[in-house]
Amino acid sequence: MSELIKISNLKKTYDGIRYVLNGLDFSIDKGEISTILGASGCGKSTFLNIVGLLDNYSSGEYLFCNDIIKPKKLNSYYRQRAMDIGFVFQAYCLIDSLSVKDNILMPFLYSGSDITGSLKENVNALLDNFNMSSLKNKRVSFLSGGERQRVAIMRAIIKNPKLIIADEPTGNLDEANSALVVNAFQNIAKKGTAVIVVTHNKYLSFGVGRRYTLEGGKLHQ
Amino acid sequence: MKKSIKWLFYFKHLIQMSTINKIRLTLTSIGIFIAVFLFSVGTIITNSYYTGSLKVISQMEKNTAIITSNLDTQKLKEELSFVKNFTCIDISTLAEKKTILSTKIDESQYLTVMSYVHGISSINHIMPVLTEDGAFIPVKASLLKGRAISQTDIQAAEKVAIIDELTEELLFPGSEGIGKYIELGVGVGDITIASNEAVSPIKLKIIGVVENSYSANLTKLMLKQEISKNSENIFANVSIYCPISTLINLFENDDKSKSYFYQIENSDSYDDFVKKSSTLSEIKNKTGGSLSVTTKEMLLNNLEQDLSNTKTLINMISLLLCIISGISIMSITFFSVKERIPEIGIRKAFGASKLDIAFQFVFEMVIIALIASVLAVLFSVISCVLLENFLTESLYMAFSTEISFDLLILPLFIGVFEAVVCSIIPSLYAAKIKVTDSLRFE
Repeated sequence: MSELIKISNLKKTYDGIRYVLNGLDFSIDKGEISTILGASGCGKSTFLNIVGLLDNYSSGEYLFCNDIIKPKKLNSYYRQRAMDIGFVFQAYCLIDSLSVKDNILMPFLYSGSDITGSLKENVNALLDNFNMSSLKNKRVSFLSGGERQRVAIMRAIIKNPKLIIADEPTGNLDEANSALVVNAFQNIAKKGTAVIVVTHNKYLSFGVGRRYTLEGGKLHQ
Repeated sequence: MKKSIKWLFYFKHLIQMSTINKIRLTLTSIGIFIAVFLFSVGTIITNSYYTGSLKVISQMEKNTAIITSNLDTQKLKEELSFVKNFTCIDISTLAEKKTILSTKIDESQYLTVMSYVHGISSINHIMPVLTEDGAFIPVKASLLKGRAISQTDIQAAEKVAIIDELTEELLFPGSEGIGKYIELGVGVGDITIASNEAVSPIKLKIIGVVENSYSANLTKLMLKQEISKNSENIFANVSIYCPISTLINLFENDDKSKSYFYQIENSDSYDDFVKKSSTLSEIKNKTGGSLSVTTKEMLLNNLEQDLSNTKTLINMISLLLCIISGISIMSITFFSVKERIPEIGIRKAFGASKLDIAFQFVFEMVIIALIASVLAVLFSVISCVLLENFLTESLYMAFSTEISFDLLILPLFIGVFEAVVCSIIPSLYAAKIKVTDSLRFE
């Protein structure tokens, strides 16, 4: 498998004194699922934000698809966020005023690609897979937590990104819905998408891929 | 996504958003609506007034001037003897006429005659009426029967008059007024018209009957009922029109300030006259009295000056309203940005650039402003048409709504421009919000 992300000696500090990430090394291949465990406040979300090009790092090296990511040019990576990365957040992060379908299609608003007939078919197929066809035009503010998380996952995978970043995706879900999420990530990984899942639930298992623990600002396998 | 679809998406998001943020959208829309509405109404009314007045002034004959002086006619003629081939008509002080022409119908009731002086001619039922202060006002008076006052009547100072239908019904109940006489000063026919002051009696032959503003909306039956009630309102709303030259003869011995209506046949003489009369101080020194000259050009200049002043006033008021509504747009957009910080983070996480975020907020404001402005312009047009109907049908004033393409486009442009300018700063603020900070709000 080819390497999608390679991070070496990554450091991140907010105040210049205390390092949240301190010499962290990480790599992930295409189609791989990596699970990162860690206690609350250990820097998991900070790590994901840096990997997802939402936040900059203080020092080190970050290669995404063999391109060096420069922390000072973070705002110029919006195309990569639109095309190559999908996010699933613990708080779902859906736009409440929009319908299920519009939330799923939202990434295409900024990706520069056309909404074609096949894309609409993909959306319908995805809604079928997640048993949400009947809720297609419903506003997401009326949905339950499990339904919202499914919409968030559909939004992340609809554009077939190279990387999916999931921050506590099952944190607010029951076992049945958690299993659904795990299954969805396994399926997308089979198509070549790398998945990074951060969780504090050490019993959550994807069966495949590497498991890391974030401790002292470094990842331990 | 194609740009056109992207805009549709923004629009769709705005519509969906509007179902949630009703109060915010309503307040913004009302602010823009009021500013654009007042500007639009003001502009249309000013333009209509200007166009209407222009039409009236343009009916004034060429080479015509109105001169007001405390000199008697003969003395003034001598002083202005350098002007050749002119006709001098003294239109006198009409303010006094209102008192003098208080007429008595019977022992107990007095009829106040609102008498206007017919100016030049009657076109499309709108008579240009020369008022006591030398200004022309348009009076709508549809001729019901008989004929209008002609140029010949004015030149020959014919003792003719046009009365309105209510006056006809009051003076000649149940019979035809045309061909009969009314006498201003002392009794006429079977009607006694008394004067407060001793004036030369004048007998006027009725040649036409026009609609009355008060009775225009009344049926004949209702009119009779109103007359039988002897309502004071009726007496205040009757009109008699007669040639200005005829009234001159009536007041020729009056030694107070008078107005003279000059028509100079020769253009060269007229130019010379205007040129010389413009040096009023010189003439005043000569005559030792007061003297002012009003020409058609002066009336046009005055009108343009009035228009310019009114426009300045409207622009100042609109500017003030624009500033107030602009501040409201800005604060509401800021409030909207604060309210939608998580959404901004989500959009940025899924690929929105700074420009996309700024554009979205500006786009939303422009759409709101456009809708509010279109409604404001629409309402202003409807308001002006209703105002025109009220003025012409109920008050019988001549007012014609003049709407042109630029009068409709300008308010729309102002509304949209204001929205763009006032939403730029909040939109740029939204664009600068860090995605990690905004997602913490979720």
